[in-house]
Amino acid sequence: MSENKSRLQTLFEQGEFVVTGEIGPPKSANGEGIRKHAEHLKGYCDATNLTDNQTAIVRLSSIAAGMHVLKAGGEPIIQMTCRDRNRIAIQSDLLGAYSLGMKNMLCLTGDHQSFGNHPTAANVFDVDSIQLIRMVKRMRDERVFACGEEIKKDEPRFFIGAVANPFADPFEVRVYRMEKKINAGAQFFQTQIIFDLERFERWMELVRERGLHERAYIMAGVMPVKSAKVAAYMQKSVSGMIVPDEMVTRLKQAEDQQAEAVEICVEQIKHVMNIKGVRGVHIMAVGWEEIVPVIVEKAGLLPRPQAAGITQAAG
Amino acid sequence: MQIQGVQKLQTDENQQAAQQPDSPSLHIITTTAANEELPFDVEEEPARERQKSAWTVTAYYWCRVCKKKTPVKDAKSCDCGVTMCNVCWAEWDFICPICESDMSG
Repeated sequence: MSENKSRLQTLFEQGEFVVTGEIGPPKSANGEGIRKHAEHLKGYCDATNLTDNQTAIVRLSSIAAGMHVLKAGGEPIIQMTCRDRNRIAIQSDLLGAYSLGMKNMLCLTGDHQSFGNHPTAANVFDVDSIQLIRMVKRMRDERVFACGEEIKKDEPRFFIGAVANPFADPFEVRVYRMEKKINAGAQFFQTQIIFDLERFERWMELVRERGLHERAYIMAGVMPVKSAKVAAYMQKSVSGMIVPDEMVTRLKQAEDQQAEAVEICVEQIKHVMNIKGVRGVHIMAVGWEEIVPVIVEKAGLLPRPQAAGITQAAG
Repeated sequence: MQIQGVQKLQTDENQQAAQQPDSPSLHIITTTAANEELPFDVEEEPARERQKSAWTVTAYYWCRVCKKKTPVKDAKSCDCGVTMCNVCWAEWDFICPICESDMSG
């Protein structure tokens, strides 16, 4: 199959600072909301993540959601977890997604099902995220299925993404895990939401020490925190995330908390843009997708660049 | 010989069949309410509705805040993924702490 790169990959290769957004598919069979959000993000984000049953809660599938984004003129990044599918189902879905025109794949392990709305469901984890990355790469570069059988024609040629969490413990191990993912074939990374910029900077130092920023594109994850209440909840109840007290206090003291939230997010983006090795920003506006265009504009990231040879609009 | 083996097996099965089981069978639970046919003019009672929840595979959630196993009827899950027991939801005034959706309904 001829080289047919995604808009996202092309922009990275052009050396642009990339912006991606995220849409959580609904807990229903209605794709209208996804199309609406995708249209909202068009022209502001270069590609859009579609989560795969995030937080282990049943939702409209990420591949179907990706189709809605494509129809709305955007570019999807399909998330694929290892929790719900074995290697047969994963490969089948990879073939299906690529046949529908999806070119970006983000490989994750997936939240444990006990935290979702089917806590007694059986999990799969036939492969882990690193093995999944390797599988997608082999299908693309070696044209073989996981079993070694040749893919005779039309192999899926995904731009392979992975996630990194600089805020999980033990801190020192995070970079090694990232390197394993790169060795397996990950080409771009989206990080966990960053609130603790100091820790992120230390993590990036370790990334640069191992030269990982030259082997993969790193996107910093940010989130506009709508109110002090949201910040307090995240600080107290969301694991794997460090929310500094100063941020909660700043939001509490603000007259207009939403405006302050945007301001904080813009400051974070401007900060990470200046960190060597950060090649883009991934904005996760959970339940507040309509604010993304405002943030992108205020961060000075408009207009979004054109990807050479690709006519598809950003989204 | 093989035939003797089969006969022995049959004997054992007969003996087993004659014994009463110590515990109920492990078949899917069927109750009167599940099989009962209601006339059209009779409305379903809450007791019957409650019984229905027992038929589902998942009958509880884990509250993300107090980390307690909570029956589904005493917990709520927001579209954004926040899952809490009603006691913890009350602490947030039934407004989702992430996406600010109204969860009082």
